[in-house]
Amino acid sequence: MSRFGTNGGFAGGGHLGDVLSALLDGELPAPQAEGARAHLAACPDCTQELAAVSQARSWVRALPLVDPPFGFYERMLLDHQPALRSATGDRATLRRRAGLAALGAAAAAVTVLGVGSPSPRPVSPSMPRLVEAHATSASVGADLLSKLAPVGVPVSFGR
Amino acid sequence: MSGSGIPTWEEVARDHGRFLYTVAYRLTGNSNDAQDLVQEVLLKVRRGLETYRPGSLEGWLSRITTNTFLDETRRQRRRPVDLLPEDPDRVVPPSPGADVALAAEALPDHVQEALRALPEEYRAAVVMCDVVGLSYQEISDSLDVPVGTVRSRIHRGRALLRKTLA
Amino acid sequence: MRRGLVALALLVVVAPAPAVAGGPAPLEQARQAAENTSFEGVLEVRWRDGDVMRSERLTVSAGGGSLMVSGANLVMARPGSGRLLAHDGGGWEEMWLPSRAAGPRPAGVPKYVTGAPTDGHPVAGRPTRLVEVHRGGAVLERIFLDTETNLLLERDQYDTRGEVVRRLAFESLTIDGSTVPPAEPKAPAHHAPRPVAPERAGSAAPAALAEGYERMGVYRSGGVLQVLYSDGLYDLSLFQQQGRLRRSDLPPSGERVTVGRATGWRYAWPGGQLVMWSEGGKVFTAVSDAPADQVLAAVRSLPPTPSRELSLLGKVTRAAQALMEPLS
Repeated sequence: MSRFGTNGGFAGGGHLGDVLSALLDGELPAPQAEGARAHLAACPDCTQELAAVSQARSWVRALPLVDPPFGFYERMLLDHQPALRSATGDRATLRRRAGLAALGAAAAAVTVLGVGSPSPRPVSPSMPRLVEAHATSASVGADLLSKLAPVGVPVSFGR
Repeated sequence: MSGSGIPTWEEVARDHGRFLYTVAYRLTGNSNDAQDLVQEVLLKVRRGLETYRPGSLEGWLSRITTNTFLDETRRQRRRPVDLLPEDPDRVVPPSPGADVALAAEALPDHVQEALRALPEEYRAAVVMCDVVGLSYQEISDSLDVPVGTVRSRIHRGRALLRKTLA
Repeated sequence: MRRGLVALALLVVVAPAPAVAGGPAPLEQARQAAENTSFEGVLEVRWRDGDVMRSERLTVSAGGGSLMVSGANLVMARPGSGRLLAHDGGGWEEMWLPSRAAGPRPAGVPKYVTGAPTDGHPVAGRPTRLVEVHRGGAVLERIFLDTETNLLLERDQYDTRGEVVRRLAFESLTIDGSTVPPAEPKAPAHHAPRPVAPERAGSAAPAALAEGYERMGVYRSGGVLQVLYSDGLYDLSLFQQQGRLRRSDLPPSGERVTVGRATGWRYAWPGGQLVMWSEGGKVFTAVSDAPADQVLAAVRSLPPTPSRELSLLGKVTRAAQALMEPLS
């Protein structure tokens, strides 16, 4: 029985395998959990394996949220003009249209693009991200203390 | 949330963008692919909002994100193998750096790198369980695989991670 | 008689001996010192925000070609041009590639006049050399360099009334070879913007702005374009993206300014100024370490964004053309 074998339950002298992860994640029904713990008390190999996967689980759970780079939200809004795609359909369909008909489709697509709509979309650029982008790029080839050190202070304009 | 309980895609983008980007980043391991993945997801969200049943919005979002990610990796595998193009600006590859004694510490970057080294199916299962916090049943429903497979992928993924980070 | 003597004295003081146009050579010396010296210290950053002077302390350590700033954010400079950033509790982000040099900075811009070095007051207990940068006859910056290593120990920026706008100064500093360089983060998030050929950016990236700001480079990250300018001493980034601003989305502490026909909002950050405005379907953000009056003069010299009617016509034409393109 391999160390990491998939073991639905376990039988007698077999090892726990992925039952260990289920135990860690609270995914074992009570009787099976009890049985697993009993096995662990007597099995150094499984105890060691439990420690290993438990450690990996903790590390991944401790990973922080990731901030997207500047321009990310703007790109989502910019590229999010799906109307042009859906209005034009796939290329095969388009080939069947021609001339004026295609122009009609273009007009329809453009309307959905917002030509007729009153104003561009409101955006709220992330000032801290832009400041950081500026300072890091401007610090190249320049005095680091002057140009770079200030971004050690988080930018907040809320006050 | 709009009154009807169904969020608009703008609300999704604004309120859950960071979460979406995080999940996408943990799955893909790099910023450009993560952004592309979120783009795809938002397109689907826009189309799929009518079928959304109120419940865990983040669970629903991560389901779409993970499936989109896996679909894309499967599609790439079918293409003839060629070297993934390096970022043309990365003329100097990152230096190997000093060996780092990890002990009980594992820096987020190392964990992320180890995640990226996992086979995609294992990575997806570990991310859904330990980054998003879904139950095995929820992951099973999302990926359309049996619970036993979910459990096995999570376990193997964690074991490989531990080995890589040893 | 006395007036004449005073005038003569002023002439002697104000007329600098070896005047250096453009970026001062002492800052170039400071740059090299920061990259080559091994040191550790506490740096105080003070900046004027409206009526209030704000202050924060940062730990800075440098050695082996790397420099690390530790505040609530961590900032790392690595050999070459590597720049990394980590927010409180977050992972490392690579903000600039080690292999990517900066664009050329203008030299010989006659805007600034740098005085000859004199003795400066001690900073962090160390003797300094003081260099003043003048503009239009008034002191703009006072730069204090360590006499032993040329490291920047203090730098003060003044407004036109002679009051301090920003101050960077070491409170304590140890210079020796014992600083261990920080470990290189593995697998940081790759957030460095991608270069854009300036011709492709067209009128969005003019080659020069008023006040002697010359374009150094054009970059893009997602949906935001960054045009980086420099006048040799200060740098200015102009960010552009599609959309419009709503006052209610902006922090309330901004000072209302005008940029062309648009209303803009000015904010101060520890390293400089930020001005944001929207016009013609685009939102502009200027970030710079230059004084506010220069930033405003520079952005006011931007060519006006084409009116929305014209750009809409462009969109319609392009959309129609795209559909009429022969399909492969």
